[in-house]
Amino acid sequence: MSNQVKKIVGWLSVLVLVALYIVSDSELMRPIANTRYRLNTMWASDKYRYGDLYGFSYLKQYKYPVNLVEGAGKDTGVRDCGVKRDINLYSICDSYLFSFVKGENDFCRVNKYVQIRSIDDGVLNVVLDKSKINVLLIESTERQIRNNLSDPGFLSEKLRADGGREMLVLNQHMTDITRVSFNRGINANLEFNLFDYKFLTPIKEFKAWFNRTVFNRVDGDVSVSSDGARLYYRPTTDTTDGSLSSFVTVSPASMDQNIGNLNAVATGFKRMGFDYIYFCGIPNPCTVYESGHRKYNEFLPRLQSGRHPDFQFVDVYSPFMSDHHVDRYERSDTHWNKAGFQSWLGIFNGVLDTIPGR
Amino acid sequence: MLFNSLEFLVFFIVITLSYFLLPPKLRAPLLLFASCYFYMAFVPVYIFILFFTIVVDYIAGILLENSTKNKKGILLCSLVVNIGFLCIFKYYNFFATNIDRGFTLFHWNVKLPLLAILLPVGLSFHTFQAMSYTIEVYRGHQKAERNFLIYALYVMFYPQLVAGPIERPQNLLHQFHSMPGIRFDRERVKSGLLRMGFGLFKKVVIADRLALFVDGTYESPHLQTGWALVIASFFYSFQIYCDFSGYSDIAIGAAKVMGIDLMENFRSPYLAKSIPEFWRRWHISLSTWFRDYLFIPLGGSRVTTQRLCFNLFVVFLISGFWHGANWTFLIWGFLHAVLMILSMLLGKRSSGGKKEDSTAMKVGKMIGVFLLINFTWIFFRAANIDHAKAILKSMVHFKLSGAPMVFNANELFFSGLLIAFLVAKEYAGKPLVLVSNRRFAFQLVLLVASCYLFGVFNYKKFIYFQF
Repeated sequence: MSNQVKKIVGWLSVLVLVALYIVSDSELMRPIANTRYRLNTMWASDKYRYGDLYGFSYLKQYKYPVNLVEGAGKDTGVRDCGVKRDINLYSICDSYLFSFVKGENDFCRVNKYVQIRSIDDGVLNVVLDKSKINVLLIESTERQIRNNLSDPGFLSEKLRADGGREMLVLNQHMTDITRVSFNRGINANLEFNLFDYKFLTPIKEFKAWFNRTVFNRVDGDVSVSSDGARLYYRPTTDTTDGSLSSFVTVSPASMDQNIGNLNAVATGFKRMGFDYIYFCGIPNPCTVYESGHRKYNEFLPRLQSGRHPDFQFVDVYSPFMSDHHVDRYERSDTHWNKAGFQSWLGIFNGVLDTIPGR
Repeated sequence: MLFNSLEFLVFFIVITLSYFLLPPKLRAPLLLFASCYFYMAFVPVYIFILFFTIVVDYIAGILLENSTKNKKGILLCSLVVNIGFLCIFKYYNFFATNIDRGFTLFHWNVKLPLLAILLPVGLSFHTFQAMSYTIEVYRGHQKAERNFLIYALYVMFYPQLVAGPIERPQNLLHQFHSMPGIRFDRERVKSGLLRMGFGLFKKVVIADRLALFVDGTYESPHLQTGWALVIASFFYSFQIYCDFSGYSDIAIGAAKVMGIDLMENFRSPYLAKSIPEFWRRWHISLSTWFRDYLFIPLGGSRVTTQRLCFNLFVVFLISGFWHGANWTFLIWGFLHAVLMILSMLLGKRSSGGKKEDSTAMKVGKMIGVFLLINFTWIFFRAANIDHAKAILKSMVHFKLSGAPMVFNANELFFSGLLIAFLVAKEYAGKPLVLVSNRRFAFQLVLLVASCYLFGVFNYKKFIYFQF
């Protein structure tokens, strides 16, 4: 190869790698990732096709097809609450609702449904229609509650009612150049672009099998249930680092602080003009399925038993625990399944149905 | 940007290819730009601190060379700026907390404010490297660098910016000046890449695997059995060695690919037969820094026994403190000072008419030294003194009940096998041999495949990044 050709090949390689680096930015990745998740060729990605916990661990025995979005909101069994649509429902939620709720038709009596995710870097500006009943639902999975409530401002600032247009305003903290240049998700995205192909999945599964069989070890973000039937997100089962765990003791002082902060958040929203405020903590899968095996820290029931004058709890903990043999969560994913969502929807629609009309 | 990340892999390939493809005179600017980017990938804003100290030391160097009267004052200014940043970012909270504790002894309820700041990555490393430049110029051993770009590169050269080796200006500056003349040398590139591959192997296969056991055990020493703690302390000795020497291997290898020679940082330290020998083999760039800029100016070893003891205590306590603002590091430094003094005193007594040790004696000495070093690492690794005490108590009483071990028998055996392989390789002392392209390719593929199959990829930071 002549020197000239070598130089051209060299510069081409540099350009390709720089391009790869730039498209590995989280924003630019989204369309690429969505396309590759939809494909079913050797270039497709298996990372989340079989659940996020499978994607962390690549344990073949937990390779269950997971479809968190499509079809979940259909056939939701919404009870007949009459034709009256007198409720405007707003929600601050996480992916448990965000990925599943299709719209106002999922809910009983609801005229309009607007949601913002608590992890979104923005604010939802609402215009409260006083001719309707304005309901706010704050939903959080158990593992996120303590983090979300550690600073009462975190949830309070997700939503405001200061007139103007009703819209979701997402902040753009960093300029594009800074974001692309010092992209925090770069390693995960590069891994996705370089090594996340269906034809490489068997190698990953072999490594996972080897570690599991020989060393009895799984990926650091994953743990296996006591009966071996499902995977959990490890921080929820951890016994040392407690902030997300179901099994690390929560002190009475910490409980009081969580309840106090939740009350402060609700009071703020009440003052904003909401007629009803509901808080719903969805149990960690391990809280439900490990109930006979490990000692639960009782975080949710203790939270729900606290004094809460400005809001009500939507209790899904008790029904989920009372028939904990029901499969309401995906076995290879951190989320619930269609059955779990529909159970929740049934419970919440029951709550909405009890709201007196205006 | 971690050496064990895909981001670094892409970065390294892009920079190295560009280095050889660009006109040679653009190599220094390219490397400086790359180094800035590398550093900013951690916390971008800290580049300003680094830039400020570079400007101060660059000017100080020129002033030191030009002036005849105020040399001491100029050097002092430069040292104050460098050590000042170190004190603010690394030691302020430690001192404030301990002063508060002191006040409470006198029932004074004074609370000094604490700083909620993140320690700039590699601060202790590049500060020491910058100080070695001004001291060498002050001593007249090094000419002041007039080319700002070259001087900035001396402080910021990305392979060794955040965790060493802490270089000397005499070794590095002239290499940067002659950089335009460096030609693509296939043998150097092959040898550099293999060194990087082996460094990565040490990090992800050995260190990060042992870290799973060590972290899990040291996190809650009160719950562990004595046996688990003995294994954890043994593993930690190899974890820290593989972690740090793995980093140095990648740094030295990456520089070598570009035709730059960095100093060696480790020479099989656990094969040392005495404590002084251990310090000639462990973190060589730091121990020689302390020797040249602290121990010898204090009088070195050609002084009275009392003075020698004092000198050693000063050097090792500061060395302990260099590692971190925690009493555990000070105790670690203190223990090493005691071991050094005992070993020097015993060495003086038994000197004269020395016979060559038998192999059994040599191995016995190696094991003895290793056990002593292993003991000192307990303080280095423990989160605080209470944890260190709990670990030692459980070990001495050989507590039998406790949490189940983090590893199963297979993984314990495999970890032991990896350690045995490492020790055997170091004992044999054979470098990775480069005979043919085919053999090189085979070795590299084998290393990469082993790293993938047996590696633990959790993007765990290198231990020495925190210093």
